[in-house]
Amino acid sequence: MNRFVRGSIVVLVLLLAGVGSPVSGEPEAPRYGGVYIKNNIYSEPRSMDPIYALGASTIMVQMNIFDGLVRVDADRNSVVPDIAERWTHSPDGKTFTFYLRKGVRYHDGTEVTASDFKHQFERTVNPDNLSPHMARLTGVVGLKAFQEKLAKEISGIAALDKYTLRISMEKPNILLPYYLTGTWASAVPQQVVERLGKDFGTRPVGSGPFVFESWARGRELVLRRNPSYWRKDKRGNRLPYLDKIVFRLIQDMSAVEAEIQTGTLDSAYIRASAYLKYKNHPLFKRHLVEGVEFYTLHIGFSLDAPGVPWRDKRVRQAINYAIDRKAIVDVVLHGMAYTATGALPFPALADDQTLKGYEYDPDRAKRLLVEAGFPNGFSAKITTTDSPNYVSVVEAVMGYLKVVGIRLQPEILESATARARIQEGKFEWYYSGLGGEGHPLIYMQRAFHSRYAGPGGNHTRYRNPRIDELLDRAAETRDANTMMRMVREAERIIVDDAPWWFFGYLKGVVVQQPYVRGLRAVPIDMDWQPLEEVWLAWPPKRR
Amino acid sequence: MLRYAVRRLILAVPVLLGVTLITFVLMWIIPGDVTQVLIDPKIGTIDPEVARAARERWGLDAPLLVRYGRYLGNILLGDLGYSHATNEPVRDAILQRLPATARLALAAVAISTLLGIGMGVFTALRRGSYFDTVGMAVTLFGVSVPTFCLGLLLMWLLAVRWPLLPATGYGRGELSYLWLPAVTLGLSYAGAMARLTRSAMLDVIGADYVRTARAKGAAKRAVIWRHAVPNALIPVLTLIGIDIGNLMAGAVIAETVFAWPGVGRLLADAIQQRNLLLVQGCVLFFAVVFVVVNVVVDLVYGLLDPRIHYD
Amino acid sequence: MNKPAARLIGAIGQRIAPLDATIPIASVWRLSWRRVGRNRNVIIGFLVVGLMASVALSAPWLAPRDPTHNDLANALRPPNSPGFPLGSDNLGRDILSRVIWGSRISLTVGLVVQSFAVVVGTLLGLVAGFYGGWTDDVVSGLTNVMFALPRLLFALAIVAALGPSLNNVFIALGIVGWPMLCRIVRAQTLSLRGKDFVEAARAIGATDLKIIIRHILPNALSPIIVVATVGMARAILAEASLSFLGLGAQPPMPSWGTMMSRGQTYIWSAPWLMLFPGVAIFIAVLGLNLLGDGLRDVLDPRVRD
Repeated sequence: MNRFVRGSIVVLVLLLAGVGSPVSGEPEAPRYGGVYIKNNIYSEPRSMDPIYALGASTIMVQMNIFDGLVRVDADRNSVVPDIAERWTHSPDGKTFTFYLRKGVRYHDGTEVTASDFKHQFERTVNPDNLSPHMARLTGVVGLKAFQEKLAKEISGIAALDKYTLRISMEKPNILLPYYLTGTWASAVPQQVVERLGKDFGTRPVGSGPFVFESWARGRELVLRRNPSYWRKDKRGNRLPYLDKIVFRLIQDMSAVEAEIQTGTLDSAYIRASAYLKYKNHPLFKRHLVEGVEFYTLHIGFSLDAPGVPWRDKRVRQAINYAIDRKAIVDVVLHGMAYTATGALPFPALADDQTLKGYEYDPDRAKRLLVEAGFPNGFSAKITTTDSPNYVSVVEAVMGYLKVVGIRLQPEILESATARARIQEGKFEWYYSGLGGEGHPLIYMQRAFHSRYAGPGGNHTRYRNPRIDELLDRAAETRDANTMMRMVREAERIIVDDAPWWFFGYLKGVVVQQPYVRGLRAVPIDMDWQPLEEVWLAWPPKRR
Repeated sequence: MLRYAVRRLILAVPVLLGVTLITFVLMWIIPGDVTQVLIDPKIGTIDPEVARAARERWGLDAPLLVRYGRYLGNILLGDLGYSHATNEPVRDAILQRLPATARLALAAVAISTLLGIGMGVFTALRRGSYFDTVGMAVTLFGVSVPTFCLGLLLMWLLAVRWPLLPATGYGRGELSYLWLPAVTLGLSYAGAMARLTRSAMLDVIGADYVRTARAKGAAKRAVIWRHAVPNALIPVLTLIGIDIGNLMAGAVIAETVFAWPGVGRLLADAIQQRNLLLVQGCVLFFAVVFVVVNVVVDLVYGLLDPRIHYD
Repeated sequence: MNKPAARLIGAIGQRIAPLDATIPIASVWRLSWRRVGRNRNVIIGFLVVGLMASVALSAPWLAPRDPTHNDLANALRPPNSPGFPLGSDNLGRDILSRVIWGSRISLTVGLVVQSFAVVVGTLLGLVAGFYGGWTDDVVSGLTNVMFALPRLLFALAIVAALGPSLNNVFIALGIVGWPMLCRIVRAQTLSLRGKDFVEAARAIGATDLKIIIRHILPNALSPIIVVATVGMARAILAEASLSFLGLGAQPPMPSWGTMMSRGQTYIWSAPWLMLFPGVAIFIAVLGLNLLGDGLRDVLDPRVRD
């Protein structure tokens, strides 16, 4: 082999090692044992019952206690088997059959069966339980009848035998498995739930890698190792590696940073100002886990409001030209985001290389404004929450828009009030983010389909029949490539129509102590970390 | 004396009623209700069906007076309501955090009283001198710096730069975890104590009976300790009485910075979640503490100042 | 008034009185300027407050740059950088200019809030103290309720209800600030009510209103002044706390409180964002407190110098 080829191979290997999970790539053998102290519970979880799985603080704990039929693979952002070892769907795309592994056991020793899943799904959509995920299974045959109490069960969900689950939909939907990756869709032991009732929320029993141990309210949650967990790592070793996990509730981010310094916290999701520090920190700069998150930061324009300047597409495009995204990302967010071309933060899946976004061109912005009839600009009110990053971005945006004559008046509200206003449409512009969906089509639907206009996720109340039609057709295709093609086309239209100022895709950054291994760059949310493959390279010295 | 105490407690009932009424009205005015907790924070939405069903089930739609009446009725039965945001009864939520709050409050009061009285006596004795001004500046430092600033500063000094104490947390009640938050809070209140003590001391030192005592030859130190300091305690006690509620609730910032699981933080979170019943429970808790402490303070007055008579 | 109630009120009055035994009754008209000259606290306090006020008034000419002008290329410059004597914040805005302009908001908060508190508190205190009876019971009950409610959170709730704006901060802090003043004034009025000159005025046939305005109020002024100056300091601090909780003045106008709250995220990496507004708050609060203390000394007829 000549030197050139060898050199290229070395470079290639190094490149490949650099891509994907940042810190691994070292062929260390995992070490068993140790207590892992992880914070990032930002608020008190509501309950450990998966039907209430909402918010990072709750999900990051629950996902390690429970397992589902399927899960999302962090590296490839695709749906991979979990308790269901494989699944098939009918040619018409309306029926899915899941084949469960045998011998998967709950923490109390009983076996996981298909009827447990049926029971859990029915629990979730049952209006009596007031689960926020009540609407997740819309489209399943017999759902309506069950919710209206006309039927005792959902006819479309059937446990054919102990290890086979069949789900029938009214319309073809090849994305059903994506819907089932949510923590609400976990395996939950039916008998235990029926026995404990409400108490299940404080004494959860699941089949996941860790067993619930204790919950000191306002302080911490502790999980311990599940010695009979079914999953093994790539080498065949039994998972998980850790003995215990402690989730600590610390709400002040400065205090979190102090705890990282003192070594009493093993990892933490950090914010932009801390990123600035850690990027250049002699020790920690090599111990950052970074990745893009499916959360698009944007300004949404209220498209329902009558007679406002931004009803004119040219005005919205002008705004997109007038602001220097890159500068704001680099300076205000210290690089903790990726500049956005469009709405979809899915570079791997839906990245359209030919999609051109808006470059920074204030002159063009001014020309467009003049064309639209606003040579002297106008004023607008922008609503956002009081989080420091958000406010700083809005202040930066104000500076850029002032140059082209648009005078922004910020309305900084406390988060609950801000959310309420945005939901109800009582805003002119808002600055926020949208995320939470694991698939680009589902994301686009939430954000721009008129069906979701208003409280569903389409806060700008954008209504475009062409988009609706495209997305509806995409939802019913059975071919993944056609689906993506349609999604990309939809995005192209959206970018041109500019119902948003497309700002950036969030970069999730987790700082970890040097002895932590196995943390992944989870795209849907860095906080939703599967912890069964995390291990500590040496026992940490705890004070 | 006992009758006085009982009578004061009975007189306190309208105060407590007033407190609950104002809290109810405030929470009613603030937009939003506890269905907040069902909003998916990443998407920023809630399913309107779920919201509607929740409102109905949790009785959020009833008119204000009905809800208030129901609430008062329940209190008589000892039921403070259910917190839907955290899925636990309000009473349990508060009781669980009670030890932490009590520890912090007592420690903070102790520290601020010791520091405050000490500094107050010091500056009073050296009134007009540079020591006076500098001493005041030092005590005022604690008052003038916002609590979160002071807290983070102390955390950095004593936990990060020189790892002497744990930075945050409750630590199952171990003393080392209590130091930082208690000192932070204590320093904030020491300033007010110092100033009051100083004034009270000056007042006594200049009073006639002190001059008479000195004229009779009593040692300065004896005079100070026997007359001035007890007199200084009275306004300090008053301040503690007035401010105890504030201390416990105002501790929210110290509790946030140091991850101290107290009732103040519970209240702040409850307000954010629009969790009306939990807010009521916490406010009522602070109000009851306020009333009880004030009665105790009054009784102690009787001991300290013989001029005050109760039936 | 029946005896037990009278004794009860007397007892409560006595309880308040020790607090204000430290604020003896002296007429503000009998101010001895010589004493002012010799009291260090008053001089220093007055100088500091005067300095702040002049800075606030002359902000447009004093501040080197526009405090709201973003300069992203120069973000987070440390102090002593060319063009940014106190450094720049995360959007490249000059901290010195922002501190100067911020003094306007902070001092305005102090003034407006305390004025409201003084007016309402004094009125209610005078009425309650002078008339006693059920007026006193109602006012005292109300002040007790206000004391029992946690102040900062009360203010937080009000601002959350009315929306975030500087005006609402004024309202919230004002509502929360009057009880203390009311109680002090009431105590003073109670003690003054029984004094000789009041009896004399009554004998001549003066109306209640006249007595209150011409005899009681001037004598109660000195504690009012003292508590008001200290209250200003507290109001400034409260504004900082409210901003920390996210509900203060709206951007991009700088107030010391919002500067500190925004700077908090950079506390470990760029501490100057918090340091300078913090120092400004400290100086303002110190000055006001010293002034208040000094005034109390100066107005105290019993203190020999």
